[in-house]
Amino acid sequence: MGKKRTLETELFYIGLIFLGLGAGVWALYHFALQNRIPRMPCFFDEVFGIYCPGCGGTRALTALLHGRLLSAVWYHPLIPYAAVICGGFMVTQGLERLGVGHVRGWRYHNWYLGAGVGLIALNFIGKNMLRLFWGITM
Amino acid sequence: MGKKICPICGFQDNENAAYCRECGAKMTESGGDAWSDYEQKGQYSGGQDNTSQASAGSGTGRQSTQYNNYQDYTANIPYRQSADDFGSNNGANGLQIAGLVCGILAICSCCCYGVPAVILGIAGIICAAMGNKTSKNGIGTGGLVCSIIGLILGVISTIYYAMAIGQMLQTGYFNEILDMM
Repeated sequence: MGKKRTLETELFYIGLIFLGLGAGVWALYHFALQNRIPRMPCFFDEVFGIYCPGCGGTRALTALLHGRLLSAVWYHPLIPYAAVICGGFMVTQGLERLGVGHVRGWRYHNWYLGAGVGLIALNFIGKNMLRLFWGITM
Repeated sequence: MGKKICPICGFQDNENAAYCRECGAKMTESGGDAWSDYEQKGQYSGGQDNTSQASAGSGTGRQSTQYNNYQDYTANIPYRQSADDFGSNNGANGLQIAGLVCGILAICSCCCYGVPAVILGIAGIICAAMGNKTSKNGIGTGGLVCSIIGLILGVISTIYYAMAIGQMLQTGYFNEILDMM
């Protein structure tokens, strides 16, 4: 039990570091670069003619932040999934460390990663099939 | 009358014995095949020698082995650690998991101007390399591979976008788009 707790602690601190770095990058883009870099079409789409595995991720994140959950799932299901898993893990682990109530932090399981990879593959194959065979685009 | 030999402690018993009276393991047929199989597998260091003890009148006996009983044998079986064990030589640690996550995200974000993929790829390689120092497993290797692939795709994508923006600057189209934004 002690060894399992060390893994969660390590993941929690790594998560905090990446959260801070991500917030810094977002702030840099939002306040400094957003109006200086034009939006350009996806490199993968231009070269190969198909959606890339991450296509729709930015739109999904924007939709999620605006409360449009179904749109976020449609654009890219990994984003709401990651928000639930990573957000739930960080919040519960943080609450456990702060000693709030009797909250027990979520434990890490390997299937978290497997499910995420599965969603990426599902989105990649499904979206391209819809586009190629039925002409349905994002 | 045939005999059966215990594959664990070497205790010999009559052919009707299903389980060893000494250690409780399942008995095998006598004839030496099972015994030699276990010797070849390296489970026992010695052969059949000195400390055999025959019970009076029963026709049974024990052949000497590295272990004298089932408990000693099971106590020396290497512990098979699950993939979820942290801190062991085969368990994944936090840095390896972070490396894999960064690698996957780097591949997914390679078309987003390439810069996020480069950053995530480098971060993933660093995390995976540091994590792989303490344990070796599929997650660490996968993280390193995905991060390298993400970094390569990010570099290619960055060069592509840099060339595209360069062309747009030459034609003046870049400034037109900025004015429209």
